[in-house]
Amino acid sequence: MGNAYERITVEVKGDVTIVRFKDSDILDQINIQEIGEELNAVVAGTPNVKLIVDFQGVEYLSSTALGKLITLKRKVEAAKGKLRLTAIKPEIMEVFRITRLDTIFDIKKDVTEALEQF
Amino acid sequence: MSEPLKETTSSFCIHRVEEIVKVREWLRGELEAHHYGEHDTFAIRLAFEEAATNAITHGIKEDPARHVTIEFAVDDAKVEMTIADEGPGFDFAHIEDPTAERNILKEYGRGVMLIHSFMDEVHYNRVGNVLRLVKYRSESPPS
Repeated sequence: MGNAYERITVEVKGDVTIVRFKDSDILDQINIQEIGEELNAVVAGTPNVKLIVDFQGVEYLSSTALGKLITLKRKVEAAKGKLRLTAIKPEIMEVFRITRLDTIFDIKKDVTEALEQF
Repeated sequence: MSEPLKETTSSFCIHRVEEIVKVREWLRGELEAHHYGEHDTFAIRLAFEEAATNAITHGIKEDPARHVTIEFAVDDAKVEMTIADEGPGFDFAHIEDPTAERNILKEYGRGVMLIHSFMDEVHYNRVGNVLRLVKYRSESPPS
């Protein structure tokens, strides 16, 4: 499903859209810019979007990527949608805790848990 | 027990964010060669990425006439890196708290906090355009 994107894959399950990353290292500034644009494109024009961003396989994440997630959250909420993040590895979860972004984002263990609670 | 590796030193001179990747790859190889564990590798790679990006983006503002010099010393006990940019420096003692309510939804401003959180030593020169970071090995290498 939906591989019109360079940096992400998109799967639709019912009324939920699941996005996954093709790169394991989300560090490169150029790639992060493209990822941000693609995530925003997924949300654009989709009112009440139910979006899961799955971090399975992501090994590294820089603070610039966190910024893109914040932008995404803003866009999802503007579209009256819901955003969940899943499968964040422990070291990256530590980044979320240090920056207190674990209190901002709805983070679930995996896609199954996130789907159950939509 | 595996033989300890000698210290490896290297330096790089870059001025575009696109050039960070070659340094990143060198660092990844050195951390593997010295058998740094997953947690230490994550900390070192993240701190490097944040520091290098800050130096290019904020330090020299991607001015092609200016450069960022990155020097590494990697041995079995620790990783040291020095990131020096040809910019004017900044007031590193008065950085906004990115976790404060007024800042938490901003898209930028977390890099320095992450560097401090993941490194064992963080030293700036007086004006703030030279940053030295040290991470001591926290996980025993395989025997």
